[in-house]
Amino acid sequence: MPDLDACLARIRGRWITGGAAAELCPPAWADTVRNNGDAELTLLALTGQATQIVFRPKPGRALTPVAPIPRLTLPPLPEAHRPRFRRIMAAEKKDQAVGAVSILALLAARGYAAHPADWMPERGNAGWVSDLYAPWLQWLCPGAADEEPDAPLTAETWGQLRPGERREQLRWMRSDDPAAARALIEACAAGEGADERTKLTALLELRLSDADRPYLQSLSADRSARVRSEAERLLDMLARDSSEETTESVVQELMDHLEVDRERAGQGLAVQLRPRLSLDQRCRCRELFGMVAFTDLAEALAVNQEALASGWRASDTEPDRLGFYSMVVRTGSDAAVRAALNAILERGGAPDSIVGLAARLGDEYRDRALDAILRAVGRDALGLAMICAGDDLGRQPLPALKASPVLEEVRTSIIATKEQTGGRLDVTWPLARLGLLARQDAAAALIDILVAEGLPAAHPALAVLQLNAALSPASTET
Amino acid sequence: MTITLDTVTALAPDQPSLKAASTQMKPAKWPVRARATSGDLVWGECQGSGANPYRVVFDAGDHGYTCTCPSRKFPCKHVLALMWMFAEDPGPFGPAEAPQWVDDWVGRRRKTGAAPKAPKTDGKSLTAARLTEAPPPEDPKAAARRRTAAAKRAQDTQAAIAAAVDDLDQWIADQLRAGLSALSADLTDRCRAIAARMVDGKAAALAGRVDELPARVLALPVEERIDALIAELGKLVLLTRAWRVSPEDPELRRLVATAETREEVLANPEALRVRAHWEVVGTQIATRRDGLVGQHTWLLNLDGGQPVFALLLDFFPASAGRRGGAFVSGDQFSAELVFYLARHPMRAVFAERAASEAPNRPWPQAAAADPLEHYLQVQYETPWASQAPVFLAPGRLAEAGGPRLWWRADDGKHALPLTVEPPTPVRGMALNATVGIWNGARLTLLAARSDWGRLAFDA
Repeated sequence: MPDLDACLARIRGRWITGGAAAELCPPAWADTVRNNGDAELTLLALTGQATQIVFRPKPGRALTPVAPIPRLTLPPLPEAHRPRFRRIMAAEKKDQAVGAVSILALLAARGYAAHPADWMPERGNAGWVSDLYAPWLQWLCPGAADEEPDAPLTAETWGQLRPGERREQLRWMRSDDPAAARALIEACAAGEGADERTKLTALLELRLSDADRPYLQSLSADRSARVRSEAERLLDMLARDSSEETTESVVQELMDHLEVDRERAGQGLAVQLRPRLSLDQRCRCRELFGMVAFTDLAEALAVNQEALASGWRASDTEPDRLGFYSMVVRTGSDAAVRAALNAILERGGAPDSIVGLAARLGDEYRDRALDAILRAVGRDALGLAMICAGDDLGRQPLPALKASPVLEEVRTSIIATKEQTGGRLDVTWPLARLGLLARQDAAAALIDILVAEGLPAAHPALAVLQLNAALSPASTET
Repeated sequence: MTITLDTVTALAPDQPSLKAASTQMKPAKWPVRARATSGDLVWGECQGSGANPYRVVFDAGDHGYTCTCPSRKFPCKHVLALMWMFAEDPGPFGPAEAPQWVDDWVGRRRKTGAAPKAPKTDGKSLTAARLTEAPPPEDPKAAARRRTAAAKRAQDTQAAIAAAVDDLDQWIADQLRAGLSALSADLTDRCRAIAARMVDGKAAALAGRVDELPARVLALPVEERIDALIAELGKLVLLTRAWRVSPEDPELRRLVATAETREEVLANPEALRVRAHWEVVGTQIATRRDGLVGQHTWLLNLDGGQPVFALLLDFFPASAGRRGGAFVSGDQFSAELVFYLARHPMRAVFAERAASEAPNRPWPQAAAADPLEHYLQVQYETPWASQAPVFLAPGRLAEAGGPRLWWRADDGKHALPLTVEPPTPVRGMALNATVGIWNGARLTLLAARSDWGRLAFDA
């Protein structure tokens, strides 16, 4: 074989510069070359075949198989739904109607992850991609481990797992056994960087309890300001110990800007900003809402948290009203957040006031909040509803969605376009949002309603609704 | 709103269109006819003169329509035929969920919303279109003259092809004498010039192959071009020599001059007919330098029999605009294929097709031995073939330190370099079975069954 290779190299060299090469042919070919017409052409035919058949391409270096794509904690989307998902993601890339993150959240809410052939995060997506996909982000890094990690998370295996995978496992562990998850973080977090320590600390918000207090207090000595701030936020949610040093002067300063009416016309406590505050004073108020713990304010006013939360009396046009609610969300008890929501709903408050509370609401109260937001007028309401729902998508029943004025607008547009020559219907934006919010049966019912109004069943604006309607929860699909 | 016979008459651009439509109304030509469960969409697939069926859809509500055929008449005879059949008897149009290609059309179109225009028949008539004109009685003397003229034409054509083939051999010999480096530097123009002479010599297929040679060679890294040039020119020599020995051989004539028509293939009693379950494993669409678009649809025999692969090959003018593929990778169906006569039958046309009753059939077991076994078999029988499909055993993609990726068998004994880098996630998947095209130097992936499900690489 090396002889043949050398022969072919000489023939090649001759032909590159030009000239007859028949005399250079391998001895075994000599008769064939001589006795079959034009010798050069015969040699060309033999050389060409030998190059492609006898010699096969060989890699310059040893081949290294690429590491397997890690399996995620959720199964990939079933085959039947993948084409529609791909179409939605392709349209999303172009139109950015709802954001890929929301579509992925709907999948996750039904118990699925994207199929890697349909969608995979890019290295720059780490900021917004759910931790569910952290193993894929790690896989995309050039230094990813060659073997698929499947070890359960313990103090011993901590170093073997990638940070995103660790957090994903810790989140599951925290749901089942909060103390074990905290103990693991306490034992291992110190060896991580500040960014990772902050994320690990934030995980404790899930099933936060008094048992976490000693560890969170110990973080006040952490070398990172971000970690200390995160720990303080969680401690504020737990309400600090009365023995702890409080910023009394700050609380007092805030109280000085507030007008408190303890029995306004039989409506109980009423609290609002003092009238005629200067611009500087309003700015200071905003700062104080961000500094003071709600518990401290309630204590200083000698009222319980629920009464204070429901006693806030800012009008919807008041620019500083949201500062108060962010203080409640940041440092109030769950009961205080619920009381604030009830008060807003009773007074028919603006949707953006409600949205601020969403992060701290349980399913039942979040559904009530969403119901109220959906009833609000304007396409913004759907955007606010999406913020309120967060990752908890695909839960709204048909009555809640039918009550939305946006749906009525869509129906009107469909009818108007039908009667118009050359009219172009653009209902992708609202229908995609309704498609993300709707419960599975509600999505199917909405499609029926819209098709009955005249929207073609194959209209691309229905894509998200159709995916939702077809996608049964993972636990029920076989 | 629905389609009536008056509507069909009114939509027809002229009477000959109606006449042509009437010839397309045999149910056997329409393996698929359906209507949407909701809405006014009606669609069908018509087996036309090409290897791939034409996909036809219309909206009975506003009379919008489309067809994948390259006709310049709007609506074409296939749309008219489908509307006509639907207007006469909607019974055979079973309600079904609109397939993706219908959805795609609906998504793309701009619906006017206007009521359909009042029918204007302008003297067009469906009844007249259906009348079959009796052929005039044949004059025996004229028939004899025609036969003689045809024989003379065939003889002239043969002589012209022989001269063109000699020209090509001479041209190749000249390139070797003048040096391949000079040819490589001026490859496109030189190939263009000799291809034009091939066209003049009625060696149209050979001309197309020579004309496409620069595209294949110049796509390779510089250091590989001389070897590729030697291989390509060598195969041309093998083809011309084989043709000289058997100029009437149908396979060689197809590769040098022109291919048989679909009707000729179907009517040939010697043609191999294979009834099996097939899966579309990929479609390659490329615009050629001669202004034609070539559409290669590769099918895998799911029953594990021979031939393992079939190729549906269609050409249509690029000027006819963008045309969607008739099939999507992954489509499965039961069909009888008729293969063009060949030493290693590959190119085929449909004789009959039906949807697969079990749509998710697994692939047959790929041989674990040499992944190029099929390619070598093809080369043994037809050494002028420049590429062949391969069915690869379990493997995965691997890196060799450079930018190029390799398919590597799990047993580590074989590795093939890839033509095009597949999407990143594929690198991390176990490819349990893979179908690709090997061109002697590179592997183009078409489809694979992986630990993450089926993958299509032709998108």
